[in-house]
Amino acid sequence: MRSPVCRREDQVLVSLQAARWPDACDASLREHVAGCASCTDLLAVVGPLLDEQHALMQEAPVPSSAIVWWRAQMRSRRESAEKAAQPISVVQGIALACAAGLLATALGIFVPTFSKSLTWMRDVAGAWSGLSLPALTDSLANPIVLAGFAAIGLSALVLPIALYFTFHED
Amino acid sequence: MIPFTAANVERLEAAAGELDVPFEMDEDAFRAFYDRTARPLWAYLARITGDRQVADDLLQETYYRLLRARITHEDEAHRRHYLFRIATNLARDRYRRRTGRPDMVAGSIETDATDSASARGADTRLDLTRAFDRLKRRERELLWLAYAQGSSHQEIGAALGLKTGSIKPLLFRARHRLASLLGGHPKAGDRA
Repeated sequence: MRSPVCRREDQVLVSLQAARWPDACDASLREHVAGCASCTDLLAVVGPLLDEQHALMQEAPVPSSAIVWWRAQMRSRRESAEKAAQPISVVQGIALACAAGLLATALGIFVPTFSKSLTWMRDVAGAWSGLSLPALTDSLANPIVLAGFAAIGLSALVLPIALYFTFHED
Repeated sequence: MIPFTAANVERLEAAAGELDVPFEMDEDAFRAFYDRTARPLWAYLARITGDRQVADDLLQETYYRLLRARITHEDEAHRRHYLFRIATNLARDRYRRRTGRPDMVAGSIETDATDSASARGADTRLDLTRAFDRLKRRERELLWLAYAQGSSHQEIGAALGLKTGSIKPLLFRARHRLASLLGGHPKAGDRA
């Protein structure tokens, strides 16, 4: 490998970058380049690179600084908002997990009652189909059944109110 | 404790948005800096990635990271080196994520070659594109910064994360390789 050091390399480079090569350079530099492999390499690459740089600078489809600034602002705000909302999401996740756990526990407790309720529903269906009012009222007298109806009624009342307070805008 | 309602979440998001973003510079300073550096930076990105679309994306990302960096720059030159450093790292990250070599988009070398001079220019650009594509990533970065941008060895070292002393031999090898790929050497009086 040839020595990477040529003491006149910088002169050649400056001449090329200042568009002084070859006519505005002194003859000694031209003579040197003709006999220096390193400077010949330099000459071979710098010209095309400078031309390419010039062409790309002309063609560069860069957005305006105002747009770039605005996009950066928007993105920064969005990221800040996401960061601020992150603890809320975590707490919401924990709350959901707790709710799921409670639901599973409740199901475990109330499954026996649920099977009794199924029996009752069969009775009620039979009473309605036979228009037997006494059978229906007898069934409603069952405290478990009554509690079930009360829970459904209460949920129907409370759910819209809860949804309203969750999603309302001031 | 704040109840976790949708309205409260929106309020918090809005409040976070209102906290003015602590960017490294104000709008006027940024816009002036951008106007001076965007085109050279885009050209650098387009040439080292070989893809205009990627250059577009990385340009935006580079400036965003500069703004968010919260680094106090000594002067314009320092900020500029840092900008090119970010761009270089982003291009390298992207290069690592890709499985194949970067493809050169045909559009990147399209020129309006209606006369013989511009046709010659288009040929030269095509030759350079092909030769550049065969260089290593670091060689492309070095050559572009040194000869297209005219950066000093110290500036190149800062932008590429290399020791200043290692630039010269690396550049010498890269230059020799590109000259060979471009197919021979011009005569001493060729470039007018």
